[in-house]
Amino acid sequence: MVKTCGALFYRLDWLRLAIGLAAVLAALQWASGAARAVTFIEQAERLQHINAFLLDLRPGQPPRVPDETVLDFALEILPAPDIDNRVGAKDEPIASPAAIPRLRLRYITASGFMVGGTWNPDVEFEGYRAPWTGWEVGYRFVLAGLHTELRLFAISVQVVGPIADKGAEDEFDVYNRGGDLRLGVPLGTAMIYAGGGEGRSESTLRIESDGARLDAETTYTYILAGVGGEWGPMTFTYEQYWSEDYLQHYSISASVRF
Amino acid sequence: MSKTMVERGGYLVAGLIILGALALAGCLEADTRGGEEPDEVVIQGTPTWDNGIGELLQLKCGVCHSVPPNKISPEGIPQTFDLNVQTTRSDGVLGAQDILTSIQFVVAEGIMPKEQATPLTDGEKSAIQAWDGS
Repeated sequence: MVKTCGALFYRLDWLRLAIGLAAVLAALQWASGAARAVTFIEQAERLQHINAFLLDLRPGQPPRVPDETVLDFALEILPAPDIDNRVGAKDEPIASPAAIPRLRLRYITASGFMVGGTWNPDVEFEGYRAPWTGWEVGYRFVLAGLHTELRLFAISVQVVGPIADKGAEDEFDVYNRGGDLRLGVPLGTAMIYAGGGEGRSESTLRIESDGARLDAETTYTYILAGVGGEWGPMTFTYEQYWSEDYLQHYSISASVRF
Repeated sequence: MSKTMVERGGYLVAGLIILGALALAGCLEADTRGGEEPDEVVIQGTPTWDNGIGELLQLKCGVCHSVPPNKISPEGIPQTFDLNVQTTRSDGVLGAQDILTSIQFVVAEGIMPKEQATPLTDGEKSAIQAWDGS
């Protein structure tokens, strides 16, 4: 299933080329003057990008234009894939959570304007603190029968805890921002939709034990496909993401409208 | 319990069942390149700085052992030598040739590269031991 999903979307040559170029440029930039990319740097950088993308603020909802102005309150869950934390000859003791839960609030007017946000307090849980703040604005409209949304987002996350060493207070800072477009086909109260976007990710990992600072930044692309269904005041959404050519993950969410 | 609450409960259960089914079919994969074999610098003939050793040391050692240190260099890394250059720099920083026996010793003893750095292959280790500094 995993391989099939990947192959379906990444047989597009132009996309592969763009992703390849972006990866090469990012690696060169990050290596700061190295003659060529180095394997452990590539591994560390890739690991950092993957963790940054998992914290991204993706749409998580069909682009349906509401009949009336609504306030939408959602619980979103982002399951994380198994991540090989090997860098060089060392398995980094990164304890990634199995899933990331997130509360989101959206205000969508009948004319299609959307503003939303997500926030997490600076509270310690299992040795980690992960305060974040994310914002999104969008405009939804119907184009040739297709419900469409153009969206901009930004999210800042700080994870503090024993990321690279037990008992340490390492810090992983992520700042992602970007925009996307998605188109949805209404099927009664359900909607299938797809789209794509581009973002810019800047992340820094500070390792307390040796004082190392790992900076990674990249411009990334992602494509998505989802299905959502409305039952009464509730909306249930499944959204699948393909980020660059090395991360596939999804979100599920349940939201209620007021 | 009102009819509306029962309906909402029904919506919630139905929705969660469908979401669960979709989640089971979802794609979850992350390719960190963690399991890949390290890049190898293959040296044909006598290893010299220009014939492979320079590239090898810059690729696998000089990333951290540079002067000034890179951002990824561990804190406190020695600033008396730079493994990106063969000979002593004009500012007095030693080159790889100047500390050849030390390099060969730490590689032979497995002290370097550090665990989190790109491992040296057996061929690369042999090339470093065979290098005479030229």
